[in-house]
Amino acid sequence: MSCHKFREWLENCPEAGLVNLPTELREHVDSCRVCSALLKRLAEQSFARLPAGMKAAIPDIKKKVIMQCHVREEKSGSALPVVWKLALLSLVSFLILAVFYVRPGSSGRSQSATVAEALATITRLDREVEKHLAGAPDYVLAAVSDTLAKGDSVRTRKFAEVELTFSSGSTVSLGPDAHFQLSGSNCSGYQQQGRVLFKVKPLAPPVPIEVTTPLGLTAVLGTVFVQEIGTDTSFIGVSDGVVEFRSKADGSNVLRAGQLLLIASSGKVLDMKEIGREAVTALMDLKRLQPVPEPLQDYDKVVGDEVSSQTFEAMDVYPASATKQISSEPDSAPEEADIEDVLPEFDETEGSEEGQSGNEDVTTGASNSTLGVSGY
Amino acid sequence: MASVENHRITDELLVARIVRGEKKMLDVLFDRYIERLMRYVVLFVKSQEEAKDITQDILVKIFKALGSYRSSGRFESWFFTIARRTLIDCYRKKKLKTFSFDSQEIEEPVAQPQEGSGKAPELLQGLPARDREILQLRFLESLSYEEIAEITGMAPGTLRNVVCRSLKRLQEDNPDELS
Repeated sequence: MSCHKFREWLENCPEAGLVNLPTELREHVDSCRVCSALLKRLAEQSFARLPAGMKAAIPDIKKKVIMQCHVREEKSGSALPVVWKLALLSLVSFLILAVFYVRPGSSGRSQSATVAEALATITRLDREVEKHLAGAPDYVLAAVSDTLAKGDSVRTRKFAEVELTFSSGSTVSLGPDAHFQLSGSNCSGYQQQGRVLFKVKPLAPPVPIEVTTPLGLTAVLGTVFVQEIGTDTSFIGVSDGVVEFRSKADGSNVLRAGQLLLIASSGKVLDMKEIGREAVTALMDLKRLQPVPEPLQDYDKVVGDEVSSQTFEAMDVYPASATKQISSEPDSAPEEADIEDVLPEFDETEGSEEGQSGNEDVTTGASNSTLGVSGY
Repeated sequence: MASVENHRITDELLVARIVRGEKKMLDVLFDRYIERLMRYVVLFVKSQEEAKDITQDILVKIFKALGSYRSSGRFESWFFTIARRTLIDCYRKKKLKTFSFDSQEIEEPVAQPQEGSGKAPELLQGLPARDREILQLRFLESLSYEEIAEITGMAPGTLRNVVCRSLKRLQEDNPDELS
């Protein structure tokens, strides 16, 4: 065994591999003073001391960094009298206890989730449904009574279904192979794919409710509608109220009860038809989707059941030409941004304290953030 | 007890908790990375004052951007990518006067080591700054070649060559020192 082979091993050793030296190499290192010293020095690098001046500055840097990040909560409360602090502490403790007693099912969330404000609760679930807590590494199985906060996502597997209920009473129901991420109260979120039924109950005072999709943005106020984001084509159907769809590529369209909007994968609006409330309601039956493996890739297959296929044939909603046109459209669904994508955006906000908030939705991969809707 | 628990938390989970509102966890993240970041910064910045200032700027930038961190990659990789880009940005904006990325210009690191284990940085002193950076990320931060490639923008193959060449040079140039 030569020094060359030892260097070769150092070059290729796995991460943190300095301590896991193979036996044959260990024998060489033990007998070779140069290699032994090199290994020792490399291992010692992590314990190397910083210059005294740098190390002494750490507390000061820490103070400044934390202050600049506005996280010294106690600083803002330092002017309060002790009595008020105690009263505030009691109130917060009471509220925390109250939340736990009212929602015993919320114990299924991770420890870190308890500090986040719950926006919705899973009230119904069928088959395999997964949730992803914002910042968590992976999806985990979801259960009824689980609470979801801003940034959390749910996704359904084949034949699965899940219903989320918001504090306003609004519900969002996901059909099979769907994905929805919560971005705000009362149904606001990002729908990446699949068929999702929205039953929105308005809040008082009214607040804008926006559902972002890869194709554009759907703004609503107190309505019932269904929308599906498919691989090739998508649609929005309204059974009650009014919905405005703002396409990334094709301006905005206002839909009223009984109307159906067809959208290509590029975001271009293909057609808007008056199909009637019954036909829209038929599309809201998420159970009927279960035998359909790939929603809306083929309209005949998608509609599948008698009611829907009759309806669409009668209304000529899905002409063959439209299907061809749809399939020829380039897929413009945004891919997830990686670190490289994020950083330039981050850099652009440099020097602007407020600009940092713009990064918050990067995890959604939502290049749609340029779309703005103030609601109705 | 809490500090022991915090010690076991992965960086990714730590960030998730900060993003969810546990701002106290910023302290833990700060403590975990401050010295590592300083060692990285002094690779390129000769003045201690500048090194302190830029370290602070980098940390503020990273802490404010934690919401944009996505858990698909290792946090260390993301952290040092931002650190490196911030250093280069500041250099380009002429905020750093003693920064040198040109390997030929760096002759002595700003970090003059102390006694005892402080001798370790001397080992790398004779190497160009870029090579020292790669060795530091590889052996101190235990990053893979792919992760270092993300940070530096160099190809993994090139990085391997640099590591190989640097180790050979260390052995050849410092036989007395090493032995």
